[in-house]
Amino acid sequence: MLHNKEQALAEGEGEGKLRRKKNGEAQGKPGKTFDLEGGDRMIKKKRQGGTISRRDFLRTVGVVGSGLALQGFSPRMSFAQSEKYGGLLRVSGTFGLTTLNPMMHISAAEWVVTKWMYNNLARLNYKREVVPDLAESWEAKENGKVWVFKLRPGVKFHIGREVTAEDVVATFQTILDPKTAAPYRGEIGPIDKVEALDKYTVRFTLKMIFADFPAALTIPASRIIAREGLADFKGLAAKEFGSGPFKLKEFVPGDHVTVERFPDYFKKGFPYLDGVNFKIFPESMTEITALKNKEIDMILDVTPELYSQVATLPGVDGMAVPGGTFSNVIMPSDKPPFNDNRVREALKYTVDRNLMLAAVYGKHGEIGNDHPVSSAYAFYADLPKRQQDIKKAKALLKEAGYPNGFAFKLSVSSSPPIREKIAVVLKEMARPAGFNMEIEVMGYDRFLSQVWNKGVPYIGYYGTRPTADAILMKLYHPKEGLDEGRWAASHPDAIKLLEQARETVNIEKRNKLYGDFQKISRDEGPFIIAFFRNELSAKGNYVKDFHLNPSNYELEVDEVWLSSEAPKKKG
Amino acid sequence: MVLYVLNRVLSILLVLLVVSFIIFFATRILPGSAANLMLGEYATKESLQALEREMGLDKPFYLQYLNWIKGIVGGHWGDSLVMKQPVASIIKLRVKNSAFLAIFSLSAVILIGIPLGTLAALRQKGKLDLAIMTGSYIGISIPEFVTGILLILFFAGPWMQLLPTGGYQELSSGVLGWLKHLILPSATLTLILLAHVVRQTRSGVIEVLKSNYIRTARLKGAPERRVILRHTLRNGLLPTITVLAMDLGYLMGSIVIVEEVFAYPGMGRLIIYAITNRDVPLLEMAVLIIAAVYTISNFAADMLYLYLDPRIRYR
Repeated sequence: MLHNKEQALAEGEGEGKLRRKKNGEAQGKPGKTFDLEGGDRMIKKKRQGGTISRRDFLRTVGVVGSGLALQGFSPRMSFAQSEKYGGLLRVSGTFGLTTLNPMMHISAAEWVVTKWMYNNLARLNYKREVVPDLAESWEAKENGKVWVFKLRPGVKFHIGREVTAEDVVATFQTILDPKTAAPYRGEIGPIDKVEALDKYTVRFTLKMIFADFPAALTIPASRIIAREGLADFKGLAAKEFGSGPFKLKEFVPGDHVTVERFPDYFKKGFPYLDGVNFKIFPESMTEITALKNKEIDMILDVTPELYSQVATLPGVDGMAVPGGTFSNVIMPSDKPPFNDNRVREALKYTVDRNLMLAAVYGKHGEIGNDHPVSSAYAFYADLPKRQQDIKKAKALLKEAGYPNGFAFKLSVSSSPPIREKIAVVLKEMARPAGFNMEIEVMGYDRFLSQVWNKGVPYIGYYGTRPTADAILMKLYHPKEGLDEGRWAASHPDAIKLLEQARETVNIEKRNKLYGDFQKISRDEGPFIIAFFRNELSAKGNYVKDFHLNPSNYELEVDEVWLSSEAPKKKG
Repeated sequence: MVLYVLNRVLSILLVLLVVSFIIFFATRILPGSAANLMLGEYATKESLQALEREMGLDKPFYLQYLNWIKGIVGGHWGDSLVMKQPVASIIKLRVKNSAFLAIFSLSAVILIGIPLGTLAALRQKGKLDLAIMTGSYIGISIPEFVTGILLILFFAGPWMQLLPTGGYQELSSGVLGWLKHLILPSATLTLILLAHVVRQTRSGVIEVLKSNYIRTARLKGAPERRVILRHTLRNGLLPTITVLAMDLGYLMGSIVIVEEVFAYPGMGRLIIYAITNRDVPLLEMAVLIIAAVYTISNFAADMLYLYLDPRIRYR
């Protein structure tokens, strides 16, 4: 119900399915769903004289076989390209959808729908690569302090005018203006100046060298808006001035958005769909029944409790991708007792991470190591994972001067529910070592005004960012980020590593710097990050060529198409 | 009689004024501002200040309140803080949706509840009475999210798939689709409200049946049909009308759970949304409208009393 940004950012996606697909398996569950399209592709490949692996062969045979047995032989073995066109894709979420202004987004639902109507300069694809979008190329100058972006010529806004460098400049000037109060202003990179060099060239001058700048430009807040739209900034809440694959058809705040195909989209021949609809279903049982009935085609976010039930429905593909979403226990390290690293370490040692993941998120996740970089990020350091060790925790506490342990209050917001679950499990895990926790649960509004970033122990919640730099700076840096753990002052050398890393272009050197930081963070840091949750989604198996992004709000549908089993396919 | 009506109208205005002040005051003493909630855990001090200035949250309380009241009277309801759209246009759709649902449910409750209640009264302590009363109690004692989900699973589930699971459709894009979307939510609400009306009608009718004028009517040889319809119901239904008036207010704004279960965008969900986002202009207007519905429907009930019961008319 609450629309907090983190919840939004946290909406990631699942990739297990995608990875499998990359390895050459059918996207559907073998034996349960028929991937005619996949089988068809294999057969084409065979005709073209390509080689087929044993697995491919088995899949083709299995698919065609089951198709024959259960459906009768389908004459439509080969999908002509034109058959991909048409249909309405209907996606559901559980909350949000309040504004269409990309700069003022507050929840995942909004990030999802503005992606359909707008473009960024660059985008983050489902393999987490930064690829061109409105910019066809870019170049770093002065070691990465100055960045020059070359725009694709001839791209049209929905209002009919060409996208030019002036629009890009106007967009960034608006988001950088403190009066705009854009929530994500801090995450688009340390931009000092942005200028148009000519009609298609934009130059960004940064305050410092920043190697990840193009990645920072992929976040939803920096979608490019036509100047006409920026002139009526308030109006952007309900209108769109984008250049994306779809244009706005209907928007009812808090309920649904419908977009329709933009015929002049710059990617010729795309999108395949006639339109997309996003609808809010506050109750997940209703949402799942709607998916079963094919009243909707995709659920953005499936809860871990319901995931296995949904993923095994006939005709439904569950999608699970490891992302970077986590909920962290924050130990304020500027005052006793947590200013003593032995105390922080002791609490870290009480956590049985596998059990925590199983209890809180039904094993849909990856074990964490008390730093925010998951394996979904570049520069992830695969350090030995900390194991539960109550004896050691007790010894550390004794050494720190708490032979009988101590009591403290841990505050959590009731939204999202993962925070409270972690708190309850941690309380029980930490008790044998001598930690006596009192858990205080409160509404999100009270949490924000009284607890969050106030230097007391609480539980935070963060979504997947485009880069390791973005999440590390946000968590640890006292100026560029929040330093909720009040840790930077006592660890200036560690913070320096982060600053050096973002200014380093050499990949190996960066890897070393980030690796060193992750180790310090694991051993001395102010957070417990027990696990990263997977992003869990589900779709009807007739939705083809959809890839769940580890940042699940990057719901790209340019190349998605509906097979003939789709209920809303025309013709 | 004129005095009576005038008195009721004035009391409506007074109630609305008091409600507006209470809501405004309540939203200010809650922790956290709208700006705080909008920026969430990404707020910086400067973005918070800029936003509060923009929203006028830095002005004194009484000024904010007076400006707002002035706006309502002058027809300027202001913009939603979070949605940045005119409050009037957001509320219009929700009021319309809620009104459809309320009219549907209320009609069903009247058409089913009053005959059942009357029947139960006439067969007092009989088997039929017991069956009707038990049935209506079952309806009210099962929470609406259970009833709602059961109805969805049964009528919208994969077995039957007769009706859509949730959402709504505009009347302009087809009467049948519009109707289909309203059936399950109003059925859920009807099951909940039925007990009130059945019970009230039953006791009202029993009370009247014992009265002297019914005995007189029977003794003078009036047919039973006329005794029931004209003499008994006309008097016995007075308390039921009050219950129905309250139910209308309830249906317009307090059925959050039913709206959530059926993904139906009505006033209830809008108010919850406005509360969690501290969207004060939106919340104020929405609550005011619901308060207005309550008071006006009670006013209508009073007027109906006036028509049905001459004793009030001549007082």
